[in-house]
Amino acid sequence: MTDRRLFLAIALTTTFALSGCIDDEAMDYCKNHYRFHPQHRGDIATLTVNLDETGTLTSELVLPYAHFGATQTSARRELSRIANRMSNGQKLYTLQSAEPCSESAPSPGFNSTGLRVTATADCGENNKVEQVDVPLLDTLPELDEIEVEMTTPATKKHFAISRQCDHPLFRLNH
Amino acid sequence: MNGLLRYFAAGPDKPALTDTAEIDRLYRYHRRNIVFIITLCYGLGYVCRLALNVVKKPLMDAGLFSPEEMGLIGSMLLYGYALGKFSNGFLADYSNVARFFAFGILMSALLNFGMSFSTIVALSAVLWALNGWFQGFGAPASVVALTQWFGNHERGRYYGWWSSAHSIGEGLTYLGIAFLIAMPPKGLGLPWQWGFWVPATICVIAAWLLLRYLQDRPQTLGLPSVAQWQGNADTSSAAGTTTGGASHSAASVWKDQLKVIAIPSIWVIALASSTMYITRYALNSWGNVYLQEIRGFDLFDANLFIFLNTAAGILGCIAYGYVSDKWFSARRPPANLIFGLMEVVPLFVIFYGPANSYVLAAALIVYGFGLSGILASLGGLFAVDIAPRKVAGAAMGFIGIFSYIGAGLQDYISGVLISNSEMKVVFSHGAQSQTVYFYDYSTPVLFWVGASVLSLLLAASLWKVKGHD
Repeated sequence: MTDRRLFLAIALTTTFALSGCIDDEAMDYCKNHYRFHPQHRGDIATLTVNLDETGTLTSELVLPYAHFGATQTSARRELSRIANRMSNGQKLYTLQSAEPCSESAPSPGFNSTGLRVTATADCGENNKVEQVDVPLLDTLPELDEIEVEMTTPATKKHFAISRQCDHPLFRLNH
Repeated sequence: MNGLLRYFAAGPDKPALTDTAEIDRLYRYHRRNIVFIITLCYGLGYVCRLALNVVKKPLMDAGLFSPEEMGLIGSMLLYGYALGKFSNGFLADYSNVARFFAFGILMSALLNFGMSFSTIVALSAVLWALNGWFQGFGAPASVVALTQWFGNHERGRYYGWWSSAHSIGEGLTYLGIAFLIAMPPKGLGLPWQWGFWVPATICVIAAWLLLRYLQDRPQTLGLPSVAQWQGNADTSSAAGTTTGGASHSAASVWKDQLKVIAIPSIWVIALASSTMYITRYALNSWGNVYLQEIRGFDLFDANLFIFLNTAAGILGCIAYGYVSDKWFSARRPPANLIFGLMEVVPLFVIFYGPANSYVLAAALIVYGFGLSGILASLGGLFAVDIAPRKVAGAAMGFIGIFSYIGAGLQDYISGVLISNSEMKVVFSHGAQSQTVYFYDYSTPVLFWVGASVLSLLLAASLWKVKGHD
């Protein structure tokens, strides 16, 4: 094989490999999720978590009527059952930290968009929170996806967790 | 074994050509090829050195490596490179530079390919250390090629051209490879493995180009040495190969070289350079991760910002030489102070300044400009001024080793500091779970900025030191 042919072979193989991969990936739901997320945003659950410098963690889960029934009445019936479970001790999250945190029970209530559940935990200023376990996709099988916004003293991250994907989705807009 | 060594050894001289016109034609042709090919291929080869920096965040997000493990792997390249710089310089003097350079770059390609399959820390660390060592083949081979084909009076100019290769490599990596990995629509969203496969392919092509177009010594083509061709009586500087003929003076050269470590200013410069390398490599290897983790930029934009700093570096390097020579009559300390401040002040803006993209871009450009200037001084010019001329190389080597040890330690220490701040948020569903990692960079940032401040103070402490003329 001449040098020129070898060079062409490498270039073509690389191009084909790249284009083949791109075509496959174009069909992938998780990869293209950002394209349609703005359209279904109103139908999915949102979780907002804020951990401040004093070690206080506040969280708010909103479960929209639109996801739980064809009408607001039927959705409210379904959401009331969830609210009961929350009132009876079903947690939004569990915390792992060096010292135990004092946690309040989730507090559910309805508003114009759906069920709003809030919870607070006080971990103390020098007590590092090492892990937050969020079992919502296990405890609420009705949910397919949760949009999460989490703020810590250092940074803020906005992402979605979908059952259909094996990794968090960080790009949520065009 | 002997056959292998013969393959890499500089070729034998061919019978000397006598046709002056033919000699001129061949010299012009090969010189043009050589300066182009070493610049292009050193730049292409650089991609195989930086690949890990671009895929660091995807690897951390996938939970394959922790920041501490990434730091360990990254530091191994720098230790390997430091060792390679030391050993390969000696080897390159005796080699057919085309084969030597091509072999290094080809091995680097294979190691990048290997990295794409490794999720084991120890294996990745070994592969990346070897990559560092093979990356160290390129610079000495390029410099030897320049000395073989270009005379003393013109080498600086071509050396400057060759130096721009770093930016070719950084541009290709921080823009090109980032484009492959970044999510659409800014990038192709390819899996992280492509961040190693494409650099490996680029390096294979570079190795082929080197074998095809880079020439061995002029004498192996029947040409005279460059000094003879240019009518320069001092043929020793451009003879091209090192022979054993000078062995009688080797002991005395070694004794002189040892004197370098007895010069206190060289130690101060070595420490200043080492602390400056901490910041330099912190920004290059963790900067894009910081911009993604803390400032919320996507992978493509974060790498674009880092590219701005490296691109500004080309101008900084050139400007430092001009400013110190023309404005301060070749006194380096005043220029060190100016460029040092241009490096340190933007660091405060980058890490503690307003959250505005334009301010960040401007600060990174000024930082890159200042850093490259002070790098040119502490890593070379200032040391060469202070050290006796005949042991300038030893002074450079001494400072180089210190610098890369600083850079390597930085990578690991940064990784440990980042890992210590880790907080995980785990979303479980059935047997699966998805994890989002949160880090606090305030301690690493303090380490990076503090290192630069210390470097500036150390460099300023040499205000009254004068160079040898």
